[in-house]
Amino acid sequence: MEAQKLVKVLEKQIEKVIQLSEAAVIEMSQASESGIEIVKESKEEITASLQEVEKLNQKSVGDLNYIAAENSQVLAETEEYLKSVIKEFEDLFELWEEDSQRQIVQILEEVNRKTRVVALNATIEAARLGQAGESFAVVAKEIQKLVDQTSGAIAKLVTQNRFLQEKVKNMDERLTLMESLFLEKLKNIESLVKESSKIGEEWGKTTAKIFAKTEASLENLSKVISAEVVNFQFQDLIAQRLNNVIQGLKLIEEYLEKGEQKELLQRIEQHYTSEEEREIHYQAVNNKNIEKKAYSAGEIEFF
Amino acid sequence: MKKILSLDDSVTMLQSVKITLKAKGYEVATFTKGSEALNNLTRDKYDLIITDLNMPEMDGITFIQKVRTIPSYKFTPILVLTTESQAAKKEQARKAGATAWITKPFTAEQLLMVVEKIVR
Repeated sequence: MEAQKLVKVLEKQIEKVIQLSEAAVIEMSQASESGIEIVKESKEEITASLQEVEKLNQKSVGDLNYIAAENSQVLAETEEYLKSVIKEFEDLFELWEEDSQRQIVQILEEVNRKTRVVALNATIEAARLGQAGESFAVVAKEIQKLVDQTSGAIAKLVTQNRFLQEKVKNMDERLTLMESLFLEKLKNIESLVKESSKIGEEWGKTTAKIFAKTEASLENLSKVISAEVVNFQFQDLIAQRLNNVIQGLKLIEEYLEKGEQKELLQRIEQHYTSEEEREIHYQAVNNKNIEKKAYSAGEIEFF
Repeated sequence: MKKILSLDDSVTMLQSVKITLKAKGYEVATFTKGSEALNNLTRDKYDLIITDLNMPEMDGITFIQKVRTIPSYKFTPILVLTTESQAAKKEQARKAGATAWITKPFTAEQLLMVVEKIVR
């Protein structure tokens, strides 16, 4: 009776071990499943973020390239326009050059000199004619006045011309200076925009690399977890073998109770579910050493 | 997404199979009893059935035979996952209508290779 109880105790102990191991493995497998889910979600989020970043980056690089192209065009047009304005001023300045003015003034002075001679001759002629030449004298005076006024106007013209000439020269110089400064600024902007575009492209490539690495790491993590999970099957395999041991113990229990020994070994053999169990049984019954045999674990067959 | 029905009396074994296949994008429904799996087969449409052989409520061979009587599952691939490797058992499974056989324990690569090869 004592032996019968002992067998019962052993059965219960083994059953408990099976239950505990099963509960532990189920918990672990559920944790792994959640882990894989989290990794999958993180991967999806990273992929979505990467697509968003790539989209934004492509847009910003596109915008910058557009700005760079626009800027280059504006720069070329501005340069051309400023050069044409400067050319206009230079032409104008040429018109006001001293030689041209001197020639005009000389012509005016010549006219004035000749008019003065006419006025003098008129005065002389008026004096010679006496009373008859009075009207001549009036004309001579008027001509003299005209000569005086013309002289004043010529002097004034010369002064104003010089003033204008200075102004045009200053403006030309300022425009030339403005052209170089303005174009320099525009060129700086152009190179900055081009540089930004390059930085944007580089940044995009680097970001894509980081995301790809993160994605690969998550994929590896998922693989590692999956590879580990498959090992949980060993709990089932051990449980199966232990359950078969329990079946053996039950047979012993039966024997102890009824004293019947008939076909005990054959009956336990019927419970086996693997070749290894059958081989261990055979070797133990026939008192042979257990030799290492290549069991058919992982054997695949297509029908 | 391919749908797979997995039947085994061991929850840990079902978890191993489910997680391994889910990681590769398969949708997996698990059952510990053959009768429940059969009921579900007629309610849903599966692309592959995976079954154990030694189960207390209904053994795998009987389950395969019953599956083959359902018209819509006449040609659906059935993979046997078992610790058994006897030629006689394999022959029984083949006659019942199984498509492929893997002897436990197996690796994730082995399971995925077979599934990818036979799934419709």
